[in-house]
Amino acid sequence: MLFNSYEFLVFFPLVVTAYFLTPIKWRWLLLLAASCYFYMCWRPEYIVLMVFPSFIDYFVALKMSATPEQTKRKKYLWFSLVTNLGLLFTFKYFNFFNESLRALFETLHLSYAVPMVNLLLPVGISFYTFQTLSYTIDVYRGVVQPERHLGKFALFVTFFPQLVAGPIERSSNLMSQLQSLRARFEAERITDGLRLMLWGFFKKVVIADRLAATVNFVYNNPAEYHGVQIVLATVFFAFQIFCDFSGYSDIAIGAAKIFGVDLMKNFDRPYSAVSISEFWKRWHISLSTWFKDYVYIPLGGNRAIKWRWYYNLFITFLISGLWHGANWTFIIWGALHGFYLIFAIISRPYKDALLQLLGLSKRPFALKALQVLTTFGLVNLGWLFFRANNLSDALLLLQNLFVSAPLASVFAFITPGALALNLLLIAILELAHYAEKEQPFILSLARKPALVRWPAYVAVTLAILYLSSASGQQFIYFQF
Amino acid sequence: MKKFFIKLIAFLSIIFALDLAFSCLLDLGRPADYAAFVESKDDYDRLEQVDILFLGDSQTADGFVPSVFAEKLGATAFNYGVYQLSPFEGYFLLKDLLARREQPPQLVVLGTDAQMFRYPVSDGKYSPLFIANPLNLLAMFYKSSNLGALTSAGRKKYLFAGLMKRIATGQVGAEMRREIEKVENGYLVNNKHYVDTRQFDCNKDHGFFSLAPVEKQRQYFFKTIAYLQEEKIPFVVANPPMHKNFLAGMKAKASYEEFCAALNEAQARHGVKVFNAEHTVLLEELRDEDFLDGDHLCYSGAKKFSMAFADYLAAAGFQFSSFESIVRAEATRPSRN
Repeated sequence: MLFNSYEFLVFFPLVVTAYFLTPIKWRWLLLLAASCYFYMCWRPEYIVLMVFPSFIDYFVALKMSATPEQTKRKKYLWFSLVTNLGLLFTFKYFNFFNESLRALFETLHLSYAVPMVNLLLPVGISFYTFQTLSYTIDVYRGVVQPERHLGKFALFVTFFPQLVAGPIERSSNLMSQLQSLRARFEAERITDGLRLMLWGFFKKVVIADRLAATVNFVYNNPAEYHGVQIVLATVFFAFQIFCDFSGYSDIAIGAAKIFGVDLMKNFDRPYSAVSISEFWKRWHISLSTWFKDYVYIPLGGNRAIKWRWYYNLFITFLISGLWHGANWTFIIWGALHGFYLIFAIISRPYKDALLQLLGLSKRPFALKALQVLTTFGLVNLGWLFFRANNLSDALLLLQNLFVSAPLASVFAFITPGALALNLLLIAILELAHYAEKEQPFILSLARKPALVRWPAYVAVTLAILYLSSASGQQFIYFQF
Repeated sequence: MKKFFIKLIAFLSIIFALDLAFSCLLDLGRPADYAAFVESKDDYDRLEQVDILFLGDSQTADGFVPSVFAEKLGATAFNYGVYQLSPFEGYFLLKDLLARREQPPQLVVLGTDAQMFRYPVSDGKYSPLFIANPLNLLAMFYKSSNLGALTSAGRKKYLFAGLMKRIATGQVGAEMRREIEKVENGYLVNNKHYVDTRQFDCNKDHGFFSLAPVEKQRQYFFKTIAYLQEEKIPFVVANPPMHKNFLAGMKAKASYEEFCAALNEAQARHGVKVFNAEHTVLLEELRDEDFLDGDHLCYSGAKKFSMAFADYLAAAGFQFSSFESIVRAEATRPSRN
């Protein structure tokens, strides 16, 4: 079930009403049933793919906790890792690796007879797999105690607001909240949840989906566009993917808040980052911290010799790219970000010297503007690979990027009115970000007088109803 | 809790009131030809019998002249072509139109558009003006997931451009695309022809032809076929003509390949009769002046095409038993330009 669907508009109020009418003791069961239904609306039989590893992780965690012997604990952990990653590999990566191997064998004029498998990628498999992996690893490390209630553990895996596209929660945060579910009907908290959901819907159906229409024209016909046309489409994609994914996160966080569950922050104005390193502290925070805690640091992090440090960084981002999808474009996107970070470390002394030379270190505003723009440009270069349909399209777009096209050529795929509206929406988004202090813009509105607050809510609601895109796009991160 | 619900109801009431107001404003801004078109569809309920029902998008609306079928076949025909009607919307509209009459038509003609499998499902038109049964509307909302469909103005948002133009220029009613001389059984008689030959280049509207394929549209095309077959209502799929230059451009597009594949499948697997399957009927005979633009006929072209189609129906053995001569809703509606 999609958040931006009519079904959800019916489903969610029903679940909320039932939740507050249900005795506290049984609320976990209601949410579990609702979560299963939410997932099964997509493809009922694929619930098995969640139930099966959940059982394994549940029992593995109990076994690990009961076993003091390190070797045995490690064996249990490996069992869980192999099961979870095995399923992920089979459903998400098998065909990709198989196809890549076939291409390699063909290049070497060798025969290769492994057939492709016809499997549908289960929605959200990367998200729930990583969430359960963090649980078993944390239990192995002794950071958290295993959950003994099978139903509540199942709810931790399936909790519908964040099931298919995150935020990827840690058991230390989510499990403890799901154990009690004592929230009462508090108007302030529920209003905050609704505010976040409203803002999330606005970002998704108004901004992201509108921008998607333009982006798709260019990225689906890469041979036909050049220079400024590709730049515009890529910048639009930067805002599309941000609004799409952060919009989903806002809806998820808002929906969970209504049930009295606080999910982690997933985005923090990423395009105001002054470096790639900062970008990753602001973009998809739940995933980047996951990779930091479970890949980068176990590899040795930065507490190693220089080359090993670079290797750790590069490998982490390479895997992060692969996590996003079974396509070379994602792998290159990840590698590119790994390269940016390594290059930033190596070039730091030269960069500082250059800034001194240009006198920029004494002009903080100009320096910050330059850094933000540079970071945004580098991120956009990454997005070009991320959005391209395949590697050859990406390379063609990259090649065409340097072929000049007159500014007015953008009107080949977007009308002046639509361009003005899209730019206006991006400006509204950035102004809202600028106004943000410690909490999302929409929540900070709560402190404003009713004469400011209400027109703002009404305007956002009407924009959702009238300006939503005609094409009703699926959330981009669903495919991951 | 009480305060929360009072606030929530107040908020929803404001939205509802603004929606109604905005919806009325949109009606003021709609193009004059669209207004005539909407009104003409009321005639469907006034006809005692409909032998042939034409259903499709603007190419159907502009392509089939009901009076030709009366003259040549003695059949009461009604053109229910709706601008930008997608197969998804068409399915619900067809069910609704059939439910509104005691006797089903003796023939349903499903007019096509080579781009029809690329219309976004949630395009927000939903033609509430044409759908009397709210249950149908609910089903459509449910299956399209368009939030805008929940509001009156949201469903009319395709009129936004007209309204904006009206606000910007002060012009009452947006620019008329077609100049309607009279209305007959749902068909708007229009003699207007755009003289600019660029209209025959289908590549000029790049945005429209870059839309992604929409599987649901294809599914609903076949669902409509299955529905008609289940209900045992005879039907024919008919391709209205395109200008030869426009067709040449269209044939190079992926959407045309998908379209032809679907028609072939309908013919081969479901035994569907397709008229003008290759888009070759009258291809050379239709002159530039017979077209409103590259893929829409004006009255002279529509008459020629309707005659060819009537001949096809006669040759295929279709006979119509209209007990009443044509009830023409000949309300001549002066244009509101």
